[in-house]
Amino acid sequence: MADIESDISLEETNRRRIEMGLRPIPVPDDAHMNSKLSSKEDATGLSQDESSLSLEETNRLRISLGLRPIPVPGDEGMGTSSTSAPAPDSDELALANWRAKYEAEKKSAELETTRKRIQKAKERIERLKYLDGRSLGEQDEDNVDDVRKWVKRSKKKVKISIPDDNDEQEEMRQYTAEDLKGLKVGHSLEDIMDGEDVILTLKDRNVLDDGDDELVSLALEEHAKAAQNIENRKRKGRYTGFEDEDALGEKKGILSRYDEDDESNKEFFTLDSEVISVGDVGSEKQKKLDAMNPGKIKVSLEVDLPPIGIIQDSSDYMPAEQIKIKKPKKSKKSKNSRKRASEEDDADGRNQDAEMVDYQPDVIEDDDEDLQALLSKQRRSLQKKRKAQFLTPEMLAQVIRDQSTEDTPVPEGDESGLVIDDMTEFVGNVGNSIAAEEEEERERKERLANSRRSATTPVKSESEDAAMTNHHEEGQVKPETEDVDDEEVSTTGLEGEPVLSSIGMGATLSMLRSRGLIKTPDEQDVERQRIQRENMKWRVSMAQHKARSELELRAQREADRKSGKYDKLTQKEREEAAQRENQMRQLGEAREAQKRFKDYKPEIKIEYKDEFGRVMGQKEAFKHLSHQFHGKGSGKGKTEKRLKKIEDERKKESSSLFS
Amino acid sequence: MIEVICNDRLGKKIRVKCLEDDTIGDFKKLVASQIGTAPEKIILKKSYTTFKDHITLADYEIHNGMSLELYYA
Repeated sequence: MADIESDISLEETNRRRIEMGLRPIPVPDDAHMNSKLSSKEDATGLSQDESSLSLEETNRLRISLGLRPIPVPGDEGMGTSSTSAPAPDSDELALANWRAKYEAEKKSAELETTRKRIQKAKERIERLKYLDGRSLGEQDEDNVDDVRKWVKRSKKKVKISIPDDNDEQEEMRQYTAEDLKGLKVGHSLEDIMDGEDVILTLKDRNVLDDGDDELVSLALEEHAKAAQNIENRKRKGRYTGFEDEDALGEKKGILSRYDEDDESNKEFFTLDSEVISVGDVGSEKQKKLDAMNPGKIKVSLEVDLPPIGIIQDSSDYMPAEQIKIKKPKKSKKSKNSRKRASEEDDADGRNQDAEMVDYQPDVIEDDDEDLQALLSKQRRSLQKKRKAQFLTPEMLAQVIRDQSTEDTPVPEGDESGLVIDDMTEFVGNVGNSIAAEEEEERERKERLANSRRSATTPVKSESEDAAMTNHHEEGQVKPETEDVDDEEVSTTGLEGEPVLSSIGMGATLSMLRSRGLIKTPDEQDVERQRIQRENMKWRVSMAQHKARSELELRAQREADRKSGKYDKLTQKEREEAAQRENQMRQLGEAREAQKRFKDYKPEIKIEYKDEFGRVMGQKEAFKHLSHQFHGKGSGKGKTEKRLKKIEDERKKESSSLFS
Repeated sequence: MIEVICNDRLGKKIRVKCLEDDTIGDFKKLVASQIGTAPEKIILKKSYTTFKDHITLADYEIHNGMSLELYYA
């Protein structure tokens, strides 16, 4: 459906607008014309129409009201000049702003660059301060300029240099303790005064570091480092829960074990010409020492001290034998008894060992590996010694003999005593059993023959046979049981087997009854049987009655047909009559049945049987029902158990006749 | 001058002549005079945006030939 656009003319719109008090819409095309017209009309005084309100008029009105006049397309130039004044103004303002900003930015950038330049220049000056004077190249340039100059100069240099050399040599010659004045030595005085020659060298330092030169001994330093390493190793292994605290509860730094020792902690002293001033930063002890003798300790640097100790070289490479102090050998006693000798030997070895061990702590205190090595070495030497002893054939023989006597202590009266242990018992048993078996074999044969002659029940004899074979296999002798068997065979026991072949039904029943396979009928059973019988009688009578009534019915129908009772009637009527008759008959029958059902006492017994035909008990029945209802049987274990139970029952029933 | 089309899709479609700097209230009056419904009962929408009375057409950027949805309160 296309909408019909309703539209009204501009004039109409304007009219309405004016009515509403709205500004009329200016009519562009007609503006001039209108104005002309209106002016004409004004001139003629024919302005009745509202819409003829000219644009100029409205504009005037609007201006008087303070409103914006409607733009007139004709004099746009004038309008633009007046109206578009603020817009370029703002543009200009923006431009001015931008320019100002641009200027400012430019200025700041310039400032920045100049500042940078100044800084660079300053830095350069700073750098060049160190390069004062002529560089090598500049000097060269000077020289290259003139050969003569260069020759002259070189001559001058030679002249000057000769006396210089002499001076230096003199200085070298005169380098004495005096020159060592004020030098610092980076070791404690104690270390150096050990009485050894110590070679001191200038310590390595950074070239640019400015400070006093320091003398150190490379050997001593390394020694100290090694000691430090050992110390570190000892410390590292241990873990205490309080890692960040010392033993005294002092706070340590993080992972202090890896910290290098501070330089400031090191002891040092300074050399004077003849006097050494001991300085110390770290240790308290040293300070105390200082306090005690305030005067400076005097050490002569010139004198070469001779070595004090006899200990030359306590290095790790020293052979262990040197420190091992050998025991003076005991004078061996005459070996009367070898045993004692060997014992003594042993003791000797042990003693030696102990003594050697005793020496260890003195020699090496802190290095476990060395200790172990030493110990092992001693052990080896001891073994060697022993071997050497045993090597002589006589001794070897003796030792072997000793060992044998020690190992198996054979008592003197060997044959007289009776020893009972597992072995003897076993052997004895074997012998006995063999004898017994032979005897038994004989007996069995006799018995077999007897039994065959007497012809007892074959089952029995067979079982006995089986038992006998069993015995035979076991190799075990049980004469008592055999005896019992014999007795059983000879005297019929309490549970003697009744012989069925020659007796009648009654006896069989009685036997079964006695076994519990058939129950004796009690009162309830009698009652039940009576009821059952009655029930049967009733059923029979019912069947008879039914048959009779059927016969009667047939006879009556036959009679009816013959009599032609229904011949006259139509089919429908005939059917109706038959129906009526049937109803009557059924009613009669029902009455009769009611009468007869008076003495109907059915026996009701609900039995639940499982899939094997077994009668289930209440519990079992319930369980079965439950399982069927939920569609979920019992688990594997329970099912197996039940099946086993059923099987057992069946077996029992089947085998109960003769067991 | 612009012309705005108002359609209520129930059979009324009008073309209204107006100025861009008219307020919506004025515009409603014009519409009301043209369709004969009270201006207070008119609701003008442009796709879920309901125009408010005190705002001009120009501010809503309503130009010549545009169509607005016309509803009645």
